Amino acid sequence: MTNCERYTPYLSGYAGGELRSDTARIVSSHIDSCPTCRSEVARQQQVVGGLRALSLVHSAPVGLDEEILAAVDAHASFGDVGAALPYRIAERARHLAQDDRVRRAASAVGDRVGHVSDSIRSSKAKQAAAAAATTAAVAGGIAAIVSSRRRRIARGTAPA
Amino acid sequence: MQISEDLLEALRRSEPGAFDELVRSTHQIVYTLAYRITGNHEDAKDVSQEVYVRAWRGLRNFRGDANLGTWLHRITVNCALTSTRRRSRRPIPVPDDALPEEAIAPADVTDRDILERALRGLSEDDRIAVVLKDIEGWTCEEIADKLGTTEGAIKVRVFRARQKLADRLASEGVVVPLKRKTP
Repeated sequence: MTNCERYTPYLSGYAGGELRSDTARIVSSHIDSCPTCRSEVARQQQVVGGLRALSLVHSAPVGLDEEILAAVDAHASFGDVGAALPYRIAERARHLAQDDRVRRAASAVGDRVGHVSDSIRSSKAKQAAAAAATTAAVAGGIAAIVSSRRRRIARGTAPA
Repeated sequence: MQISEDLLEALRRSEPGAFDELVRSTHQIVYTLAYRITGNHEDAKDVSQEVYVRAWRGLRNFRGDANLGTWLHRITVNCALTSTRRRSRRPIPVPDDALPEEAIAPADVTDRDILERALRGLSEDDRIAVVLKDIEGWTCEEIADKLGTTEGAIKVRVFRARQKLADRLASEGVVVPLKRKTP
């Protein structure tokens, strides 16, 4: 074992300021006289300093707080199964919104309220419109229940 | 994770809106920690939701004898570690590029991004060890206890991770203290 190999296991702890003072003094006297170990300690100190600075940097996707609150509300209303519902419904709605048939069907419905059956001719489009309507109804229903429960909890008329 | 005395008192009294305020004031810290441990946004979002559902359930029994911020931090680490264990049994996702744009005033976005990206390039074991040690300030003993391994093993992982990160920063031209070399 070379002289440096004896100190290698301690260099990381030295760089992070984690060694006992007596051990740190011994390592310190070695790196004073060893450019290779001194360089390795300097490299590790860069990293430790950069990582500690990261502890002050926090970020989250826009709207995550509302998604979290919706999950908590669903849990409060429906237990573990309910906690997953808003997310799943939102995912399904996003998926449907990307479907051309759904977009065409929605456009036709919007353009010709009262003449829906005339606007949607293909069976696939009818199915897509039905799926969209069902999803919207379920989402709306759950949102109404959750919203109602939140209001009742806020008023203190429902148990948290 | 700092939680104000006013909010703590409101939570103790179960005041309306107190839990919403807890989520709004802490979710960025929870999400970022979950993201750094899991290494991808989808798992970090799932972990964040799970953390607050657990917090909601546990808050009724929380008497304030422990620090609420520390308690939330521990739940986040536990949920994120469980998520990574689940993920290890599923296909590994393509690593995401960076934290979302709305970061809180980073001093040097470019170099911070390089370091965040380098972190995600580490193996799961090395990343978790160095995140808990150098970003979250845990001791090697605490990490070893949490991960069910030895303190020596954690020291090796942290050492290895710092070396790899130093290599990556050097290859990207970043030098002390996270400043880019002039050409």
